[in-house]
Amino acid sequence: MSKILGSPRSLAILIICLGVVAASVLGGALGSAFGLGFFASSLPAIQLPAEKVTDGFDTPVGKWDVMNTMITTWLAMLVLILISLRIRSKLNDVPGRLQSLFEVAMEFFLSLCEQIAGKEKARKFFPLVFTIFIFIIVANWMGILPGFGTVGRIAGPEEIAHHHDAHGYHDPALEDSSHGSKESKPKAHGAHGDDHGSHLDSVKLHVFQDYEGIPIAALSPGSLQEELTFAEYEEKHGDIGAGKRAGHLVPFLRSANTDLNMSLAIALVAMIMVHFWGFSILGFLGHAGKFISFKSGPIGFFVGILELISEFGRVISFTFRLFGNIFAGEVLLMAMAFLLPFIGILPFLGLELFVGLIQAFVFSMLTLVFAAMASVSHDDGDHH
Amino acid sequence: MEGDIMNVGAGLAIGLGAIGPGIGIGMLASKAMEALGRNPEAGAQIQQNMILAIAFTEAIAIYALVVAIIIKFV
Amino acid sequence: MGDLGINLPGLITQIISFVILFVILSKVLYKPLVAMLDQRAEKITAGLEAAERAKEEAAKSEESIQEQLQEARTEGQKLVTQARETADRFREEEMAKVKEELEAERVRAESNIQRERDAAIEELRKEFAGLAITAAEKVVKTSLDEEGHRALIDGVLNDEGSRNN
Repeated sequence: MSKILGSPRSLAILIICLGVVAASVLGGALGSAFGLGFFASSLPAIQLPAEKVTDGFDTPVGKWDVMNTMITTWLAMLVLILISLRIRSKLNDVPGRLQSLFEVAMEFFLSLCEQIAGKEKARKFFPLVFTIFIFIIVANWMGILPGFGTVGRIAGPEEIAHHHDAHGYHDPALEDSSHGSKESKPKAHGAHGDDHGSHLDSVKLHVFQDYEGIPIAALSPGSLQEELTFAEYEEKHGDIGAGKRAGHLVPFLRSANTDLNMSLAIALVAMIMVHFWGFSILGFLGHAGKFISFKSGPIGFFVGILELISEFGRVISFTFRLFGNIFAGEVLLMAMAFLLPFIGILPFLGLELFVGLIQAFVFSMLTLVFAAMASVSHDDGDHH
Repeated sequence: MEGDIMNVGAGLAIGLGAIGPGIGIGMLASKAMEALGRNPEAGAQIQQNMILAIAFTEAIAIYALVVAIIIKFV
Repeated sequence: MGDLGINLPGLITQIISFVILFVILSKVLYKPLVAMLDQRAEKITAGLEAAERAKEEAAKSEESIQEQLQEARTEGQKLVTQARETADRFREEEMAKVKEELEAERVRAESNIQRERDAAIEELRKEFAGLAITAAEKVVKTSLDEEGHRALIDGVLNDEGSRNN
């Protein structure tokens, strides 16, 4: 101990560490109970669906908007495609570092496939299994980079109200500036006041700095100190002070798997491919016979129907396992940054790295196991 | 008032739903460790199967989590 | 579904994105890399086999060298013994020859000596007889003729010679 205290360099490091810990404990949500909390911010709005970044176009199946999770998906795709192009251009029998990394991973999954599905089928299953693995791992790890979920545009009160099904809501701040009519206000109030009023009134708005009218903001410790509810906003007629803007932060980037669309998409592709392989290896009757069989009486028939239902259960559990883990991780990180800024988040960043890896591995392993199970007929299975 | 009861419900959903999978994962890991102690050469195989089985068990907790999320946010 | 964030356009976009990624990675990354891994495995197997073969061959040639060496050694041994035998025989032959020659020499020398001695004895006898005759002539002066004397002395000398021999 005296050695550490004696050296000026380690003493300085120690003091800096203690200072960061003190700032984090006192400045966070804990400190705000004692009137400190200089870094304290309210918890950002947690939203289940992915947020819209810009408007898209109308399609026959609904409106297509550019979502923040879509952008992350494309970024992850871009990263993977660039890496693979680079590996391809430098493909060599004596591998470089990047190539060795992928070779080791691919070797591992190839041997796993051979172990579980047998030698010939391994080559068939491998591309999907490995794509699932690297896509999920890259998307998950990307999602905990700085900038994800903290930089975005500010969604105004009208858009927030729209999300809460109050479609007729008008922002009083905009009303005042446009024509200042007092008649429209009760109408706006009435539009949501009938069925959604109590719900919407308690929804909180954050107050951001207004940078010359550009609705862009970044979260930093202490940046969300002010907040007010819709009811308070109404009372003030949208006038919350000069250079300030109310709304929610809509991040430009959000971890791809915190969107159910993404995890459901991977699960659907995986299960469709699993059954495609089942049909192509066992033949149509061989594979369909597992689910609808009249051979072994009514019990066998119901067992088949149960298996059919469990196939849908697999899609759902695939989807929600991945989504739940990653979404819960994001919320956990957010809550930790809220409670103990700077240091509270550190162990959980490590945990999220691990969870991202495990979820990628589990998703690909389960796909592989299901594919191996689907490509073996039941009659064969009984003999093992 | 309604919101408060919903919060309690969400907490109960994930809290109660995590009990079973928690016990399950604990039993699974203990048995896997036992197997590992008896047969250390089969470590890779045991670990793989353990992770798979944990994933199945954990799915139940995830269902509870999803229910809680739906109650809270939807 | 909408509240959970699942909407058809978003779902279709993500499915298409994932399938595109799957196809591109399969074409660009897996195909060449897996082919390379297979090729390398083949190469390594071939290399190991070649090494094994070379090792076997080396062992075999080592064995043959050893054999040849052994052969040469026995050959040399044989040659040496043969040479020694030849030398021995040659020496014995020479020795025998020399011995024979010496023997012959000795025999010849002996017979020479014998002859010389015989001749000397004859000479002596002749001289002695002459002397005796002269002596007797001087003593008896012609009491006997020369013929009668010679016969008498020969008889005496022959008696003497046979007694001496």
